[in-house]
Order: sequence, then C-alpha cells, then structure tokens
Amino acid sequence: MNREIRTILLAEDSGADAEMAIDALREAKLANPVVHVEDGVEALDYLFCRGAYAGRGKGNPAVVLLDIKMPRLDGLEVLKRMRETEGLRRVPVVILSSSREESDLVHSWNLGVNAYVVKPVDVRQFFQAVQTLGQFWAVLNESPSTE
Amino acid sequence: MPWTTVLSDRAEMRLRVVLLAIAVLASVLLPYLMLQRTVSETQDASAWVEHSAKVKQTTTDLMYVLRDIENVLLALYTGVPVDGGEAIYTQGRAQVTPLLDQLARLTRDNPDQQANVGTLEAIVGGRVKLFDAAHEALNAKAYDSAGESLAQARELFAFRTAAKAILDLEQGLFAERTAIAEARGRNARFATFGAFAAQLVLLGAVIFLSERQTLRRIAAEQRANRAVARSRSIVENVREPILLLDARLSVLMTNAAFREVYGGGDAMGDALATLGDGAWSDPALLQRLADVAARGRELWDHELAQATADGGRTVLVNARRIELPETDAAVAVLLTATDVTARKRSEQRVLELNRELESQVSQVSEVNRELEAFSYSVSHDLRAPLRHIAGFADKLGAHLGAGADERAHHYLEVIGNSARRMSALIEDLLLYSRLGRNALRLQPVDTSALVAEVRTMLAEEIGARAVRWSVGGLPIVMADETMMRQVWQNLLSNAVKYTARRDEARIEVGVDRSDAAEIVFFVRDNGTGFDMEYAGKLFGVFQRLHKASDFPGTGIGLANVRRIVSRHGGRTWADSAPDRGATFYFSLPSGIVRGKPIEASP
Repeated sequence: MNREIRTILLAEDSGADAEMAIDALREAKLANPVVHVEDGVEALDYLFCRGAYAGRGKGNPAVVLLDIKMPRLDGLEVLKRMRETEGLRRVPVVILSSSREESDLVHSWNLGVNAYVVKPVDVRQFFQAVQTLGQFWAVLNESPSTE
Repeated sequence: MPWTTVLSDRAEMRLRVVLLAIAVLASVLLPYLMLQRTVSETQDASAWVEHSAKVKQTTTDLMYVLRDIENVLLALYTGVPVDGGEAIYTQGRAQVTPLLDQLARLTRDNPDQQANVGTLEAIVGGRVKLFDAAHEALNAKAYDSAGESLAQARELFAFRTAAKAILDLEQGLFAERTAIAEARGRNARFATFGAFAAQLVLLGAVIFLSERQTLRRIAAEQRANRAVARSRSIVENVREPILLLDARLSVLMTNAAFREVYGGGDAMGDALATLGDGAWSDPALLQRLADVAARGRELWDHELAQATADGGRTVLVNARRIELPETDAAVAVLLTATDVTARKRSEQRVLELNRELESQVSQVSEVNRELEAFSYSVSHDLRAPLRHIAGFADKLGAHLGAGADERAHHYLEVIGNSARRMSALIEDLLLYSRLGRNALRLQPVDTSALVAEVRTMLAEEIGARAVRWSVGGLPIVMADETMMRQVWQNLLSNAVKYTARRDEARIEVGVDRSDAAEIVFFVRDNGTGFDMEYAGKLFGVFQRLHKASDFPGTGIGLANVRRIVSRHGGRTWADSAPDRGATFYFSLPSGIVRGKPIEASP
C-alpha cells in the first residue's frame, strides 16, 4: 500500500510541554511526523494550508493535539473553527490541558472533541493517555520496529 | 343616646301625660258626680221621712179633732157644762174635711195608704154624720136620740182600727225610708272616702312617677357627663397629637399631646397655618385639608416634613371630615399627626445600609471574579512548571541511566515527588475553591444508594483488610448529588484510612432524626481517633492532625465536607478521643429532607 504517512499536529505554546509531548510520541515509536505550532493562528494556518504553510502538501493531519491556553487564539476556538469547516470536521482532536475546570471540559465536549487529556506531570502517564486513545490506532502509523 | 331610644322616650312621656290627665279627671269628676247624686238622694230620703211624719201628724190631728168633738157632745149629753163647748165643736167640725183632704193628698202616691185613707174617710164621714145628728138632737133637747146617735157612732164607726192601719203603714214606710236614707248616707260617706282615697293614691302615684322620672333624668345626665369626661380624658391622654378644625381650618380643639409638640396653650380660633412656628403652613397640606373640609375627601398618611429647632420632624397626617350635630360648626376636620421621624430615619438608615451592602456585594463579586481568574491562572500556569520539573527530573534520571550514582538518583526522586505533591495540593485547592463557586443543583439524592456506591469505590483501598460495616436506614435528601458524593467519599475513606491499624475495622453509618429542625448523619469508626483539643482545626484547609508518614493525605477532605454541608445549610462537627475511634457528624436542614428513610442492608 502506497499510503501517505499523515502528520500529527501539536499546538502547544509551552516549549517544555511540547518537548515532553514530542518525546512521548517518539517513545511511542510512531512513524507520523509531528508538526509543532505555537499558537492557534499557526494551527489554523497549517490546517487551511495558508501563511507559512501555504506550500505544504495536501491532506489533513492524522490527529490534532490542542493545548487550551495559547496566545492569540486558544485551543477551544481552533476546535470550533475545525468543526465548522466541512473538510476538517472529521479530523480527530485531543484537547491537552493542565486544567480540570469543569467549564473547559463541558465546553470541549460541546464543541465535539474526541478526547480530553489533562496533561500529567508524569511523562509516562502522559504517554499512556495519548497512546490509549483507542481510535488513534486506526489513523496512526507505527514506524517499523527495525528502524 | 341613639335616636330610636329618644323617640320612644318621647312617645312614652306623651302617653304618660295623657294617662295622668285621665286619672286626674276621673279622680276629681267621679267623686263629684257621686257626691252630687248622694246629696240629692239624701234630700229625697229626708223629704220622704218628713212626708211620713206629716201623714202621721195629720192622722193623729184628725183623731184628736174627732175625739174633741165626741167629748164635747158627750159632755153636753151628760149635762156637764163645757166652757166654749159649742166653739170647740164648730171649730173641730170645720177641721175634719181639710184634714181628710190633706191626708188624701199626702197619701196620693201610695195606693195601699189611699185605700186605708178611703176606709178612714168613710168611717169619719159616718161618724161625723151621727155626730151632726147627735148635735142637732142635743140642741133640740132630744137626749135620747142624741145618746143613740153617739152610741151608734161609737159602735158603727170605730175609727181607731182604720187610723191605726194608716199609722202602722206609715210607720213601716217611715222605717223603710229612714233605712234607705241611712244607707244612702252611708254610701255617700263611702263614696266620699273612696274618692278621697283614690285621689290620695293618684297624688302619690303622680309624685312617685315624677320623682322617678327626675331621678332617671339625673342618672342619664350623670352617665352622659361621665361619657363626655371619659372621651375628653382619652382624647387628652392619647399620645398622638389630635386636632379639631372648623371648615375654615381654625382650631376648635387640641389635645395635650398636640399642645406639647406644637405649643399654643389656648389656640382656640387660631388659624392652623399660624400654629407651631409654621409647622402647619405647608400650602399643599392646607389645600388638601381644605379639600377634606369642603368635599369630605379623606387624607391618608400624608407625609409632612416639619422644620423644628432639633433638626426637623416627619409626621404622617391623617384627616377626615366629621359631622358635629348640635354645635355651631356643622362640620369639622379631625386631624391626627403621627410622628414617624424615628421610622423615617431608620428607613433612611436601612436604605443607606442597603446601598453599602450592594456596593459591598459588587465588591465581593469583583473579588470573586478575580479569585476565579486567579485559580484559573493557578490551575494552568502554576502547574506547568511543576509538570516540567517532575517531567524533566524523570527524563534526567532516564538519561543518566546507570551512569549516575545512587545519590543523584535519590535527589532526582525527591525533586519529582515534591513537584507531584505540590501539584496534588494545587489540584485539591482548586477543587475546594470550585465547591464554593459552583451553583447547587438540588435534586432528590438517595443517601443509601450513595453510601453503597462509595463503599464499592473504596473496595480497592480496603483490599484484604477486615472491615465490618454497619449502615442504618438512610433517607432521601434534596441536595447536590455530586457534592454529597464528595462528602461521603471523604468521610468513608477517612474512616477506612484511619482504621488501617485495627485487626477488624468497624465503621458505622447512621442517621439521627430526633431534632425536627435538622437531620444528622454520622460516620463512626474504631480507628486512631484524635485529640479533641485540636478538633477546631479538623475542618480547616490543609489542617492535618496526623503525620503524613502515618496517614497520607493533603488535609483538604474535611474542609471540602464542611464547605459542602454549610452550602446546604447544615453543620459539621466531630467527637473523638486518641486511639478510641472517632465520630464525624454532619446535619442537613429538615426542609431539604424528603420521604422516609429507606431500610438499607448493613
């Protein structure tokens, strides 16, 4: 199968959090390349192939990981725009947040989030949380173990 | 006095006067008429008596005349000389007929007596004839013939019996008439006496009635005077100023309270506007009062501000038109002035306090909003560095791998554990803050089911330990289910935690409904317990009575319980002694308890 390997879009303004997330994804031995953007505007630029990402290849990411609190445009706003757009409506979205605030949670579910993950301090828990989102196995590509 | 009573009184009086007049007439007229009749009857009776006497007299006279004639004739016959014998004879002879006529006249009214008189007349006539014959014979000296005539007169015409019949009959009539006359006289005396007695009685009655009437009037007047005095005393002593005005708003009357407040010892006739240093000169009020007087409009709680030396007064003026019958002023305005200065001031104060409160409330909500922003910021921003510290400490450990010594790994572990603990503390604090902010969603909560659910959740923590549960019947309550779950979770997990060192843990859950106002739940264990000296700290945030190495925890659980229970309007408290177990209580107001307790299996 000549299948194009789709990307994982990570929108996270905190460098340390992003580094941990990327490490966790790497440890999961996923073949999907991780695209890291630092705010909501950049995330939408990537998704709509515009601005800095105007020249990127076609195709939606396999999954979008969104931090809630980001400069300029927050994660919930990005999620809302995705759900309003025909081509992006079915792209799986995981909200990453350090908050268990109920309003955030309810808001996210109302906007049609696929999973909601409270960022654990423990990297192993974080990795497990991302890994165990069941539907991911259908869209993620495991890299060959022989790498 | 009501009009009806007055009317009936008048009618009664008129009737009484008429009756009195009739009684006076009767008592004066009747005896007069009776007396009149008695007098005439008595006169009649006397006349009759006199009449009888006359009849007897005439009869007796007649008999004497006849005897005189006979005696003269007998003397002549026997040759005894009689002086003036012839004169006596002639005189007597002349009297016989008039006497008989008189007798006949006198007895005309009585047929019996007339019959008697008739008999007597015949006898007398016969005798007189014989006497005349004897007289002639004597004059002719024919004594034998004369003697024969005289003897015949005596024998043939004995008048004694006939005269006696007349006299007897007349005597009977006389007695009868005398008796009648006497009876009439007696009756007349009785009648007079009766009339006198009746007059006496009547006079007594008149005096009695008029006296009684007078006494009654005096009593009524006294009653009326007392009522007037009482009314006046009430008006004078009532604490509310009262004022009576005439139609031109001049003073008719004031009470003591009014004079005390507005002065004017004797303000009769003064215009209202001039009273109390202009306290009543408000044109709007005067206009309204004029309306009251002219059109009978009532004035209800008219608020009037009056300037006074001590800073002003607010009064509620009530006024209405009243009728004043039997006085010069047909209508008057009754006015009362209730001093509401104190009430007004306290209302003002309440308003001010309300405004202060509102501004404080808005300040509080401002603070709450800031607090919310703060906790959000704590939740997101403060925890990120901790996450990084713990995360990268782990990474560093992995990176160093076997190359690092034991001590380096220990340090990294302490760094990671501390960051994780701080994160847990922040998480609990956020939960606590959320419990205070989130709205209560009241719904029926089955406490029995909730406790059973929490016990299931605790199964993992209990593991192989021996725990003997004793759960009584628990009621359904109106509460926020999520919050109540938090309460039971905290209390039951505490009970499980602090009985960890017992061979057999005993945990009792029950309810006490002896107080009608609230329902008290309790959780009793046979665990470590605590010193009551520190009981006050028990429900505080991050307050712990045990070392973390003995019993781990952040110390937020009971603070959460207290916050939830007090948000439901209840109380929390505990009872314990070191090593003797502990009992935790919380109450909910009865108002939010519904239904009967459901029997739960222990």
